[in-house]
Amino acid sequence: MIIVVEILIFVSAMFFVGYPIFKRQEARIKTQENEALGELIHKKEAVYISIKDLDFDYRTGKLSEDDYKELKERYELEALHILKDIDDSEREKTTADKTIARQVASESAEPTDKDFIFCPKCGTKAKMGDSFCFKCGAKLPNLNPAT
Amino acid sequence: MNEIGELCILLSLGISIYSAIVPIIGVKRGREEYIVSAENSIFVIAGLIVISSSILTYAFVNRDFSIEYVANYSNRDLPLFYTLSAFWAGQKGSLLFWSLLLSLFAVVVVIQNKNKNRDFMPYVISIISVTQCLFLVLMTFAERPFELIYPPEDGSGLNPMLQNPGMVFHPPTLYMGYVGFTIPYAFAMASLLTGHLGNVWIKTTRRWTIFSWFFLSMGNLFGAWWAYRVLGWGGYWAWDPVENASFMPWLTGTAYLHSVMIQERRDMLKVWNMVLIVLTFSLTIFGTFLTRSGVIQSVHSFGQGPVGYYFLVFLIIIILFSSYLIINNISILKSNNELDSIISRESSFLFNNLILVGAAFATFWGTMFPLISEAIKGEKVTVGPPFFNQVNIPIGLALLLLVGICPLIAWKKASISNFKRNFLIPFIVSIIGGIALMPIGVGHLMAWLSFTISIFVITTIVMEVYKGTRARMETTGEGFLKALITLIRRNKRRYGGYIIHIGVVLMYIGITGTSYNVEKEATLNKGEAMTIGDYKLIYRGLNLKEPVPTKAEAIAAIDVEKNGKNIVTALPRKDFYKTSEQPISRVYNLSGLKEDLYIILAGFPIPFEKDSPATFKVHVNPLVKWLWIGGLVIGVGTFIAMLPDWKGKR
Repeated sequence: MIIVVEILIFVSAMFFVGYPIFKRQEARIKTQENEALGELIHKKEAVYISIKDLDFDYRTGKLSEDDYKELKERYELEALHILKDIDDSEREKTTADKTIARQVASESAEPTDKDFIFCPKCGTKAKMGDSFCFKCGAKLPNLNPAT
Repeated sequence: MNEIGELCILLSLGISIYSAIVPIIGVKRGREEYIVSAENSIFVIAGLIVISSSILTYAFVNRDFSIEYVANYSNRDLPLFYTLSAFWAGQKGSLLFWSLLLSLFAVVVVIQNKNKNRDFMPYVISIISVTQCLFLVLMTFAERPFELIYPPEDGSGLNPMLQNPGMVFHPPTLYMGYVGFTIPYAFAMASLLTGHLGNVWIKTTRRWTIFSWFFLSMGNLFGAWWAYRVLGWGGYWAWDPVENASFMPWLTGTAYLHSVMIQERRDMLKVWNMVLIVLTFSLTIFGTFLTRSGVIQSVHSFGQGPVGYYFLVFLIIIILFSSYLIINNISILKSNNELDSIISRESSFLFNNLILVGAAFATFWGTMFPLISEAIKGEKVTVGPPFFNQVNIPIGLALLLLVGICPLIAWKKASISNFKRNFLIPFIVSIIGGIALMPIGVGHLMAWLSFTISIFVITTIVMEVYKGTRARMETTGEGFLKALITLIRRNKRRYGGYIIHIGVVLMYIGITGTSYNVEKEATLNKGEAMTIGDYKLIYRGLNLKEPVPTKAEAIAAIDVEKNGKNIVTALPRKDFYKTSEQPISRVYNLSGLKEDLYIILAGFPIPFEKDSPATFKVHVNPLVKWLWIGGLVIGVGTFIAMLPDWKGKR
């Protein structure tokens, strides 16, 4: 009986540990894709805490008005810079996402005549953007479809 | 059943090795499934160790004396409550208990970070697993909890000194603190390994740090309470090496708890915080090494054995590994920010850190002095309580003063004029208090200082809360109570922290009371009396009872009169156990807010004779109760500081 229980424990443990590897689980989407963005968000929170502290210390009479104004201005400026960096970072990310989406779309789209050129030497069909003809090796004209 | 327990430990060891290596391979090869497999391993290890622990508990409850550990730490007469606590009474069980806690904490970490900190998690899992391996290696090769023997008729029983509620709670709480610090340490190392050295790891482990600190505090306090009630020498803290061993990580952990706040706000002290968390984690392992190696004589030692040296090797590995990572990242860790002003909350936190680390170093030095002196002079010179008191009392008072000054100073830059204005009322109140306390200060300068500073601290905290509430009332137009509750609710960490500080002050008051302890010893015939302080103790006789076949109780009856009025009949006793050669004194403690009357039946002629003369040691220990009340207040403050952020969930 004990042997059976032992085997059961062993097999279940091995199964549970090994399952993700045999299943070759898809990579989980990282919630924090952009590390730099994550850090910026934390920095923003830190500056917000600082501004909150300043307000509280001023209202409870620990900070002189001049110091309060000077420090608040400085931290608000810092917050502004961070917010701008966050905006830039998010914009970059959006642009990158759009580029990827465009590339994926163009990869999966049916090729049209516009996507091909013909070798000026032998007339073989080649993909737009190729530098040389894969059949005769002649240099192909540089016709960028994006231009 | 024991075979299943052993298999589970062995299997856990194998899987821990796997989960220490595989996530790193997963990162190197970019294979998420390896990391998921390691996360599953954490669940499996926890499951296996829960099974092992359940089997050991079952064996204890069923008196299965074929298991050596059960036979050594329990017997048939042991009440169920203590039978369950016998699980962690000895070396083997406490290792299993440690492993159990670590495995459960690891599960919580994996669940908490299922969808965040994915870059940290492989390393966090790996570091936790390596730590887990240490305990599992010990339980597999050196200290097997399921080792079998030829079953005796009855077990040896649990050491009578451990049959006390304090000892039921002291080890688990202390271990929770010790084990808990593994989590912030693992995240700190993960941040160094990934190079993501921002504040994410600190934010992620904030609650773990408070949790671990709280349990470490409570572990120490339960230990003190147990020592006070059971050891029968009239005190609760003797600067024993093992007491020091759990006090040192508490000091560095407290420093860490404060200095991370500066990193969160100012992006400063990154190297210092790394050093503090490494120091705290290393000191938890160092404490375990001291307890289990027997290198230093202590009342707590688990005895001499090779186990301690496993911890020593692990400790060396941790220090080398962590130091390498810190040095390797030092240029990124260094901050460009500087303090805005030397008079600021930040700089007061820095002083607090220096004091706490100084106290930890002094305690370390005193604890290790026997070994150091042996290495240099060839003889062990033990450093006693006078050294620790002499060094740590001024340090402690400086720290207490900072607890009071800190709330008066603004973050970033305090203006001197505002500081003076805020300082004025607490200063005047404490001066008035100090003058009022002058009569008790004669000959007790340090105690007088401690009380006076305590008044100062309490006043600053009360004023701080009042000012905050008033500011909120002015801004929002709320009533006092509503403003106060909202203020605390919106700033749980700040006000939870203040409540913890009040708890600390109450503990200081309790500790300071020690300066006024009175002690008297007398041998009395039946009907004779002795006086101590306001008390008159009249000895009414001695009796013998045998509540269970394995235990005899010699009970003295003493009528206690205070200011001429009979208040209670005290029954101090001495218990004789068949399983133990040493009788155990059961102290009678009449505890009040002002003082404790602590009566020990020290001796009587053997063989026992009813109503024979008896010797009593009596202590009047002022204010001890405030130490325990302070612990409760710390619990309340920690609870508030750890409450989740409701605002974010709305």
